[in-house]
Amino acid sequence: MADEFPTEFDVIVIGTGLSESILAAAFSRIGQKVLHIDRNGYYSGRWCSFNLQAVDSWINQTKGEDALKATDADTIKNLISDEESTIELELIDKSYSHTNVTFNIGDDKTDVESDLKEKASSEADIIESNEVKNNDSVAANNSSVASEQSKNDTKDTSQKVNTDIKDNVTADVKDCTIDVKDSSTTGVKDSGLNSSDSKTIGEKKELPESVVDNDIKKKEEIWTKSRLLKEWRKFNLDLTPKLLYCGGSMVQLLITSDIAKYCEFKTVTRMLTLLDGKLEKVPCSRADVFNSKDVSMLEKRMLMKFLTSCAEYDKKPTEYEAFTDRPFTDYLESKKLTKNIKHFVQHSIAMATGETLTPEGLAKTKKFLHSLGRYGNTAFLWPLYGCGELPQGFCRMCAVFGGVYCLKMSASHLVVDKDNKCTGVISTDGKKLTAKYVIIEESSVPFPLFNASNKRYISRAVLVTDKSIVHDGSQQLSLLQIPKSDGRYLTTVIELPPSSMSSPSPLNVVHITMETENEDTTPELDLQDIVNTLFQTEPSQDDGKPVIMWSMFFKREFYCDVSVDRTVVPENVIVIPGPGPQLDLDIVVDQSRAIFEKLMPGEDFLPRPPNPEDIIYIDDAEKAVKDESNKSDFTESDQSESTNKPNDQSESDNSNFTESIDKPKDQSQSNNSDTTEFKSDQSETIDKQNDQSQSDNSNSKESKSDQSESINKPNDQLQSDNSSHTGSPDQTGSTDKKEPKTE
Amino acid sequence: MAAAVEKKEHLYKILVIGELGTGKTSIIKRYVHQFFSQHYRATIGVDFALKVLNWDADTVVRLQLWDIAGQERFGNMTRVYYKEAVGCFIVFDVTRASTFEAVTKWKADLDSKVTLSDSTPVPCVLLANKCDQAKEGLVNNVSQMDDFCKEKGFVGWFETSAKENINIEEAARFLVTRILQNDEAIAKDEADTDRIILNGPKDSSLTEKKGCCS
Repeated sequence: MADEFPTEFDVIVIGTGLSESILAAAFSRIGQKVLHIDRNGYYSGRWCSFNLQAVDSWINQTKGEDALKATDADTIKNLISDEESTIELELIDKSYSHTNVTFNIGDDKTDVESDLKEKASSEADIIESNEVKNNDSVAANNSSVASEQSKNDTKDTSQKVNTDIKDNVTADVKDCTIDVKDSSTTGVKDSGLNSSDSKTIGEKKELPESVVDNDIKKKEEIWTKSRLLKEWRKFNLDLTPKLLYCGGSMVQLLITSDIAKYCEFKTVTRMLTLLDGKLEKVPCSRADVFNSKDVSMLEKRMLMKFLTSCAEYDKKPTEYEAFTDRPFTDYLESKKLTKNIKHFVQHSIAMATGETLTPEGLAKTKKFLHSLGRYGNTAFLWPLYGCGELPQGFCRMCAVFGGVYCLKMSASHLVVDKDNKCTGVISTDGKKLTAKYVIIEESSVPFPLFNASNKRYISRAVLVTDKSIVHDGSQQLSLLQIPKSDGRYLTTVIELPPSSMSSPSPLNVVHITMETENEDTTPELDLQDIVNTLFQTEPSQDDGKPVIMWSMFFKREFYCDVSVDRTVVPENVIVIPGPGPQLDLDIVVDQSRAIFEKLMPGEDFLPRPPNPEDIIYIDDAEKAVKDESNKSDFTESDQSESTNKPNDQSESDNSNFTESIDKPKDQSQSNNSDTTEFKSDQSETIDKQNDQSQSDNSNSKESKSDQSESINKPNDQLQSDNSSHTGSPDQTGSTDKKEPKTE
Repeated sequence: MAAAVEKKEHLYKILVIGELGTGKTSIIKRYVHQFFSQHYRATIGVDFALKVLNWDADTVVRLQLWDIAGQERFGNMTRVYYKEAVGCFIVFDVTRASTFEAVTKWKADLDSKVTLSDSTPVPCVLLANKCDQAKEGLVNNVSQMDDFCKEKGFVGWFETSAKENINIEEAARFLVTRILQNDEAIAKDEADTDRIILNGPKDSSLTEKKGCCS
């Protein structure tokens, strides 16, 4: 049925990264016909959060495997006119390099098994009996004590086993224990064996509690490669981890556009800083400052006074006038703050480098303070399941308002007419698709069209660790900023606990992000100092630091400026920068908004849509019924036609909409009539009511008044549902909860 | 004061997926709004339709039926669509065998993108829609359909007609029963109270109280 793929659009958006998705949603929301395509088979592009399996396919993909092919020249010649020319686009994201994935935990189950098989020839009986018992105890017990007991069993009953084999068996026991969590298959093949063993288990259940606790701990510590792989689905590993300022423009946009309903967040619960080689918690709120034991009384007063002055620094420009062109560090110096306080403010509150100028440092400090307290004692939020959720939220909004989505499809060429205006694209499946605007992510634009001097790099590490860098048993989401020795850039460390849905419990995911100008060094080398400071590098030497179980390093290029050669690239092709080095997402929102407002002056940027639970509307498709004979080909199939003139109608609907809110009586009347009308079930009856239906239409599109102010252009196509609302008072109930609850 | 029995209220997200033109929207509208039309267009501007069921004396079930947004129709669903769904209808058109062939693809896509919180598959009911019309293919053979469902992991199947209002209530009731069973079976140890749902400034007082989910 995909054969009637529409070919005419207002806007074609290439790439489903965050900026592109925001723009796609914004255009779709005001009734523009949007095609949103991505060369990848998944959403979010370079913003994606991958599970452990998807990481593998992504790495292959960065090597160019399974890439889309450009449409061949002959096909293109047939699609374009003589006066048109084409610009070839990139179908492979070439911005990644030095990608390297490592499992740092060795005791792979399959290795152990094959080892065992080799030894089995000589001592088959003993091993077999051990395996049986282990499996049996696992199945019978199905609890965390199994591991230790099985080990005891091994000792008790098979003293003849030489030490070499004993080690192997113990390793196998560990694996059995792990399997219990996911399935009961381990025990199946040996069920009903060896009743004496289950007795032992029964007795051993009465072990002192402390021993049991110990066992539980031991079991939790046992992670193998196979167990990590088995839990692949529970990982959400971000290519581009970013935080949201609670008071920033991203949070604001999510709320005003109602896209917040698709996402949930965790708060950053802890700001850490590296002070003289030690990790310290940064006191940033009033409460923190006064609770901190590491800060002296004098420093507390000093910090509070300074922060208070920063919160309204713009009201007293004379305070910092002299520092306008000087670094923020100089300004801090002039305030006679102690070393600790200076450090806290510069690196953790203002996120300033040695090069940050005073006004910027002050603005960032203010933004930080402004963000505190909105969602608890924190300035930052992290999206549950990773940042890859956010673009998808915008994509869903775009689709809900009629945007057409196609993954694993891209544009292989731009089509340009003789006036150097882009008329559309050639899709990778060999069609010409027209559009007034083409929005394209930077990595799809061929390199020579950029100014190479703007090229920079981001070194990334994604680590899966066994415990937090400051381990206290609680689930903390931590942010740590570490200045580079040259003071020019800050390296960002974000540590995510399992409750952020980034990893299976109790593992943590650590994201390290560092900006660099150096292309050739490996990310391992770039980040070496930080990794060595925070983590155990030699697994054998337990120094209390977290162990890295799995790591991925990569480097990605980005452009600080994506201005392209406009003599080649037409003005109506908008090139969007990829994710930059910033800690947060606000610049993405600001850039997207600016682009939208430039292209669509006077239009609202992602106004709030009506709440699905509040809309009462009738099927105005019924108006179109002209007593046609029944056709089986109904539903969505004619949608492409139906959306082609959204703007014409939205004007008039808009006014009706506002009116209806002022006249609740009309609305209830129309409701009644609708109900009787449509309960009749017969399309003929509906046809007779056509006139009435039409006149009622204006009044029956309705939303609760608390939303009305933000709905400026209710898309006309909010039709189609009829109301049965007379009988469902619950529809006016709680509107805050969008996600289904299990409770 | 008489002890007012607090009604249990459940909110469930149910997905309705399947090929283009199989009648997903019709089924939702028939079920939620008790009406049928030959002339639905794309489902634009609406995330889901809400159906409130007074399940029994002390249980209210609110069903969010998520249609695939009209034109997210090339099978490329976002994760936000699948996320936290607890039940699913996969719809095919008995008059077009090709839509039945796509059922397996949809089921695989569903299972790859979402599971229940205990990692078991989301219960999924297969709907053989437009059963008022001439059938094509496997659907004529009941036992083969049963086998197919068993093999592919569907919890059941129904012949439905949105047009004639056949079996839609029954299919929904069947699925909700399943969901309620699952809900009881799955331990609610995931009570995670510090998830944040963003609200407008006006609602900020509610954020703390309502800011938790699942």
